[in-house]
Amino acid sequence: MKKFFVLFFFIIFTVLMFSFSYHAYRFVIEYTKDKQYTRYEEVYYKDGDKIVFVKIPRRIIWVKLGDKYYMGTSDKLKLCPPIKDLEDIFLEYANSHGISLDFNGEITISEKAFTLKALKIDGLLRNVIRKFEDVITEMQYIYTLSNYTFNEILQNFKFIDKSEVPQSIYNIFNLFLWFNVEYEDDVLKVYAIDKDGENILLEISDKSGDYQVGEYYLTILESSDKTREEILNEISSNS
Amino acid sequence: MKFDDEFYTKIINIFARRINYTPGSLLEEKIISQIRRRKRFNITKIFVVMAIVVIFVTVVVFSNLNTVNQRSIYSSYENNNIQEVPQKFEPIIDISLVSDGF
Repeated sequence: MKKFFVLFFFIIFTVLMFSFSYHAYRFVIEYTKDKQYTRYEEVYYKDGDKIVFVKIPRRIIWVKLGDKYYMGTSDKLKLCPPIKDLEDIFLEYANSHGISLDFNGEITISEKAFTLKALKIDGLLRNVIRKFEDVITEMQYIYTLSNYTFNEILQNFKFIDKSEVPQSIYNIFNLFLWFNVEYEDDVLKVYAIDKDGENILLEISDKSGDYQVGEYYLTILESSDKTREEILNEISSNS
Repeated sequence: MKFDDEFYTKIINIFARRINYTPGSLLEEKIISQIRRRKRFNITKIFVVMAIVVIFVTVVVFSNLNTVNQRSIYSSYENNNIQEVPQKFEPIIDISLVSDGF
């Protein structure tokens, strides 16, 4: 019995000791040569899981629970592909380079197409900056206390394990470093940069196109041979 | 010789009075106030110059700020407002807005 109590308190202590959570407001500012874009969001973080309330440019809520991601604009959130913010991207590349995350100060990671710089003070990330050619994306954190816990916020949502868009379309986006979209002439144009830093231009339509993916049609207008092959592999493996 | 002594002494006294001239209290006050006014004028001048510089810089900075496009992240969002996006495409657009890359 005594052993059981010791083990019980040890587990509780370990969980409390290594549990990490924060509540913060984040500003994402993207500078290009002649434009400046901003995103403002509120984040509840707990042990790798996140609830993010995007407030500007548009009210969107996304939640990361384990390996699953959900997104929506109401209290009903639908399954969606992995969403990575600058924090996740920094952590991923830091891990891939074997960089310890237990650091204080500034760290710079140089990749083929871009560089990442992160500043950590007192165990908390203060900013993450990514530079790709003349595009600089910066995430600034403002940590505050909240009246609500992660779990209290989480229980307000209903999670629907069904995705609106076919998974293979989302998988195509995973081949890119990032992408922008424009809806014009009844077609969704996807401007992307692949992981080698090459430009990609795709068109997604619900009427016609070169390749059918579920209810959507895809046309590759610009791409390197390598990425084109990867996109086609992604479509064929899921069709 | 005595005449020379007296003559030179007089000249030295005249020059001494000129060189070691101390004005009366009224004149001294007048001179000091003139100097103060001159100093005050210089400070005012500096203030005026500084104010002009500050106004000029402010105008330049603000005119530049106005030319910077204060738009939402990713040009797509603005363009989406031109044509109504079917609900089918909304999740993809939302992901492009909230994601910073892959």
